Amino acid sequence: MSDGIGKFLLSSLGKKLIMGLTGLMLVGFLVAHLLGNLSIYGDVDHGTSFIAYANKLHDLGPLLWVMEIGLVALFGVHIWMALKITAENRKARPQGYAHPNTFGKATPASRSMPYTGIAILGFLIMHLIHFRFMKGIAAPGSVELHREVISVMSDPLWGSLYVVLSILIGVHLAHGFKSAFQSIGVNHPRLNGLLGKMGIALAIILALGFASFPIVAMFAWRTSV
Amino acid sequence: MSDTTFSLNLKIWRQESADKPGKMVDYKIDCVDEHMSFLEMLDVLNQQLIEKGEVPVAFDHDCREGICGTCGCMINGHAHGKDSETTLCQLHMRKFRDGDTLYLEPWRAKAFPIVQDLCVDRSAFDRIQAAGAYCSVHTGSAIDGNSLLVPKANAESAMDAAACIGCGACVAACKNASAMLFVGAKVSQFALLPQGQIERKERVLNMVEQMDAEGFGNCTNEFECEAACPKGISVDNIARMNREYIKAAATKAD
Ligand code: SF4
Ligand code: FES
Repeated sequence: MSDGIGKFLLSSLGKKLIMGLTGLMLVGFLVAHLLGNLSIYGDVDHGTSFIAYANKLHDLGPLLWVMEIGLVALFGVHIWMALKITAENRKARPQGYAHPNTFGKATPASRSMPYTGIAILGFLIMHLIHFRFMKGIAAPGSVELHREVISVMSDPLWGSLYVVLSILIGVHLAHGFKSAFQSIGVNHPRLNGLLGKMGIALAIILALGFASFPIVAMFAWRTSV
Repeated sequence: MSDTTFSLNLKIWRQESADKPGKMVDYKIDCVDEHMSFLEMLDVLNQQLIEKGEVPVAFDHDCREGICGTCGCMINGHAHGKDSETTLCQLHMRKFRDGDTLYLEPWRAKAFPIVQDLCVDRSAFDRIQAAGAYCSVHTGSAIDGNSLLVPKANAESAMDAAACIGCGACVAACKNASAMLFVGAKVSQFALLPQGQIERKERVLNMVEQMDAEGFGNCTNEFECEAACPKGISVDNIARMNREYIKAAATKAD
């Protein structure tokens, strides 16, 4: 009756598993991305440490391609599943309640997952346009890349947007991290509290970490470049 | 018997039948006794409606002692009302105050079509049960208790899961109208016991397949179900079902 890997993956539980696994891998990417970006603090004036980091990435050659394709696939699957799940869930309750459904154990973070998710998708596109697809910018080892980062981040409008979206990533993870473990079946009385705390800690660290670049740029670097 | 009676403003979903449109209708009830159960309060309201020549409010009920899972409606957005681990029939009117306004609405889910007023059709749960929540073992005469060993922890967890009365409050409370707490409880109670082992893999695969076919939503781990459940069923059962499902899908022969 229940055969086929496709059927398994597209069942309600399969979709949860996919959401959880891709979500956790994306968290891994965010941690690596933040650690890499911290190199910018090494030498703000000339960007030598940041450029060296960018060069190292480019030196990976074909491996970088593989990583990029993997990332696109991860984001793609995570977003596709999210859209599918959200659409199906809307359909599962065609008529809502006249009295709003009040919070029992849900949190603002859990309630807003689809919205923070869409905001992060918008952020992703903006971010890629800024630093991945702009002409000349992505050239390995170029000083312009460093300059462009500083100029975008120190711009009051873009900078503030980056701060807001960094916080939204944190909000998304505040629910997403421990939710992912529940979805893949990792749940144990001795583990649940710890996973919840780890999720919140990670959310705060990532949000502050990413927000630190535009904040420092807007207030300290504007005049220095 | 009563010393304190008070009045309530009720807003109740009235719908003649599945294919007719429904709407919220206002009622005022004056002689609410604090010792009444919520269902008794509705009985009194219905008596008044009958005397006025109006159609009484249809609501589901049976045991009225919190064990059958038949009763239930939303009170101001809370399934079975705000009290934890309480069915509607076990909810006392002393929990409410004079002049309170209460919205009474049926469980809302595509998989639970409305029959009339506050009554919904929960046969989707029966079909999920029929898809696997049983053991096909020859019973015969009772075997020696000591020949079938069950670890204490498993016995406890299975018993906790088996406390589910199939009321559907988990579906009603979930913003996605997901039935995972109910199905998780049913899958768990068998997966934890020796009698459930023979059909362990087919059970979870078939029950989940039926759950999806009924049109319930996908779980997003908000745990509103656990908060609403009158039997305190834990979301640990959902995680266990997830594990069972992954294992079964990966290892089932044929
Ligand atoms: S899990 Fe709880 S809320 Fe859901 S059907 Fe069972 S008893 Fe009712
Ligand atoms: S009427 Fe049986 S549980 Fe409420």
